[in-house]
Amino acid sequence: MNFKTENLCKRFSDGHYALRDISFTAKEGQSIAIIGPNGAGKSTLIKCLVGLEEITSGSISFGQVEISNMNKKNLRELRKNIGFVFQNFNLIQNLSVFHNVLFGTMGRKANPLSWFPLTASKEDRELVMFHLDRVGLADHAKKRVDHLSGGQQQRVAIAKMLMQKPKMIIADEPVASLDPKSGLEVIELLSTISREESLTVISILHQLDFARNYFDRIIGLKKGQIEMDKLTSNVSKENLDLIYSNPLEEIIV
Amino acid sequence: MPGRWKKTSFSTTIILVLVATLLVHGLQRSELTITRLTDGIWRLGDFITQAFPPDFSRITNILIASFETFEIALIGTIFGALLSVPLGVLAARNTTPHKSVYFIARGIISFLRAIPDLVWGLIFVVTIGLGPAPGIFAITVDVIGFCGRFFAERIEEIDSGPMDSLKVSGASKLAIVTGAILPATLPSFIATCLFSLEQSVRSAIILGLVGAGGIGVELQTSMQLFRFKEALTIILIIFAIVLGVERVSAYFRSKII
Repeated sequence: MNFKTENLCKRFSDGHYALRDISFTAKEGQSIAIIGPNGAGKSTLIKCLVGLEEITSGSISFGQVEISNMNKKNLRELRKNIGFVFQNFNLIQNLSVFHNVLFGTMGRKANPLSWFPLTASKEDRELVMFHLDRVGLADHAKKRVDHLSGGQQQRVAIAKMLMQKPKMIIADEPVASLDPKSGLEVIELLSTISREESLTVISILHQLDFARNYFDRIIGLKKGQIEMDKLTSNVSKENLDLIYSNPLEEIIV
Repeated sequence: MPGRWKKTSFSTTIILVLVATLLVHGLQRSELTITRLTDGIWRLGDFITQAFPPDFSRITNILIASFETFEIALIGTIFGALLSVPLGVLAARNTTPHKSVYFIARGIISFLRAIPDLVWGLIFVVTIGLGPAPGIFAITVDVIGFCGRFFAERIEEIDSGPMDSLKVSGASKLAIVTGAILPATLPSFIATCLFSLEQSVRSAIILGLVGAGGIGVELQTSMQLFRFKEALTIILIIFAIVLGVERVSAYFRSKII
């Protein structure tokens, strides 16, 4: 799915501008890492993209559909095509891995019977196991989510998101609360899924090495504005220094 | 070193004087005297002497009435808890569809909670008639007042993450309630229901005294006919029921929480 923002601005009620004139286009299958220091507007941008924050001016388009003035019903329809990966996984801790992943169908399927393991169709149950196998957790289907590690929980969240059959993935710091090894596994998984299904991926990242190695393009935000927008192969250390006011070495450490 | 006494504020002084006045006035009105207290203790001794040994001749009827009391409590609690779930969703700030709905739902809960179960019992005995049905209605209403408030407050406390997760996937409000709110709150809801069942068993016994069925009716009859030996049997059975329900409820609550 192609994606475009034009002159996107977000001003909060206190008059502070979180985003100013954000314009960029994402081609189908392209992966984009959004980097920047704290307070740069990364999370606000992501929230605006899925309509969790209202924009002040400008436009956001998914494919041919412009969402800025969309009513709630149409916004819900659009969201069904966007898979969202959260920093804190947002799973139901006291339910099984299988049940959490099955909840990923809730956007697509209106029939409440399809939301429960007991009454879900054979097709959906098999799809849950297919995605759990894909994220390497088929053996953990019966376990409660709170018995899993952070990295495993994020993989469950990705399997749940895949149940939506998304056309695009948006991730809000998906590896921020994980150890380096688990973080690498999750980024590799997202990268593989994006490549295999030609899904557009937009992800906020603080780990510049992940951004360089697994994303096609890096957008740097600073004080609510785009400071840099380049293909990963063209990004230099000086470019990154401009985004982070402190020397880059300190940031990486 | 600070002094032993701190000067009290004006508002504290007013409250203390008010409480002291009410205490003195209340004691005067109740005509509670040492003589009455000592007489009462002697009469209690008389009652215990006359009640021993307990009379188990009508034990079958008493057990049937006890079972009816437990059923009144259980059915009332289940109905009340089920009705409290949608009311709790409407009365929680983070799930109510509109502010006006929130105020109406909160108002209903406050109204139901403000009126004691015994008063509800009297109202339903007058409107429905004698028997277990008014007891069930009275307990249902009482449980809604109790559980509705706790459910709403628990929903307001939950982490918004799982709700956001379903919201951004295009899920409906029903799906968000089913997939994010209920699973996260269910253990706490069940614990509240078990606690409510303990209260309902006590209420169901008292409700019998106003004609709403169960063992309360048996106790009232025995006391009015001065059949104290039978009354003691009933009191012992009430003690066993309340203690049993409390123990079982505490066990399950500890397992759930």
